[in-house]
Amino acid sequence: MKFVMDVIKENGLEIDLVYSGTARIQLGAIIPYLYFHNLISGEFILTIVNGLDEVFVKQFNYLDIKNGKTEDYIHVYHPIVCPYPVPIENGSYTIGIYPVSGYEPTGNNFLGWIKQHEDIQVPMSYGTLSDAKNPYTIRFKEYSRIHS
Amino acid sequence: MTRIVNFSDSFVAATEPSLEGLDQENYTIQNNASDVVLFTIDNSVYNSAFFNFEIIRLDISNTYMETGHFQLLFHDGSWKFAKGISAGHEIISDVIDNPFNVVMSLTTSMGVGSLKYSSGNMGSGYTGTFKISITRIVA
Repeated sequence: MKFVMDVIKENGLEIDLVYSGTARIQLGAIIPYLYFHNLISGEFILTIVNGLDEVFVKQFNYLDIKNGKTEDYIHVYHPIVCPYPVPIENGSYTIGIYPVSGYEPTGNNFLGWIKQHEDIQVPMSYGTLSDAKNPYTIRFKEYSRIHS
Repeated sequence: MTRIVNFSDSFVAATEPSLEGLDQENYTIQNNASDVVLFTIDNSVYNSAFFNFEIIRLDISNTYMETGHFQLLFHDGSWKFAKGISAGHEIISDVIDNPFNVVMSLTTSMGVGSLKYSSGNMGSGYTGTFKISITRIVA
């Protein structure tokens, strides 16, 4: 299989999303689709920002992504679980992944964020779109009430 | 840097997948620079690389100083600029001259090539950019 990704460098990578629902939701997890290329160190943060307001931030490291696997090349939907429900309401948000410390990307060691056209979170485009211009892939899990 | 990854039909791999596609980097050119490293390439990882480049002068309304392409080839123990291959290869040199005294050069240390530039005095208001797009052949 082939996939297209951008290497996460010193300034990180971001995606802008709009939540257009009328009801407020409670996020339980944010799940970016990442590519782990022989990474040997690195602390990262994922943030959700609404304008100037930081809605959510959580730190994770390369071992969290590797999750006990012995292989050094991994593509994975890496869940970043919210320790508390994160309220999201109608509006525009920027989700970013940034290196914090211990990360120096080289040709042999880096973390990437995979792009997909058929991403359920992002509206399809019926026009021709270069693979390199597809959005970064991300999933969300929300809390919902179980009705008995 | 956008790359295409050729992965096995699995979520994990013990051996390095091949990476292809274009890397583009933009570098700011300083005035009166001397041997500033733009890019490094390790011969233990890559055998050759193909570059497209643009040198743009931003202080005069995006004037192109030079556009072009070249190959880097690891030959006889060092990295060299090389012409395109037809029958046999032809090594140019380890220096490329561009207008306004922007000179690109190559040095090699322990198999790692460093693409460097030096620039002349183009005025205190000078700002410029190297844009480099690279395709590499994996060793």
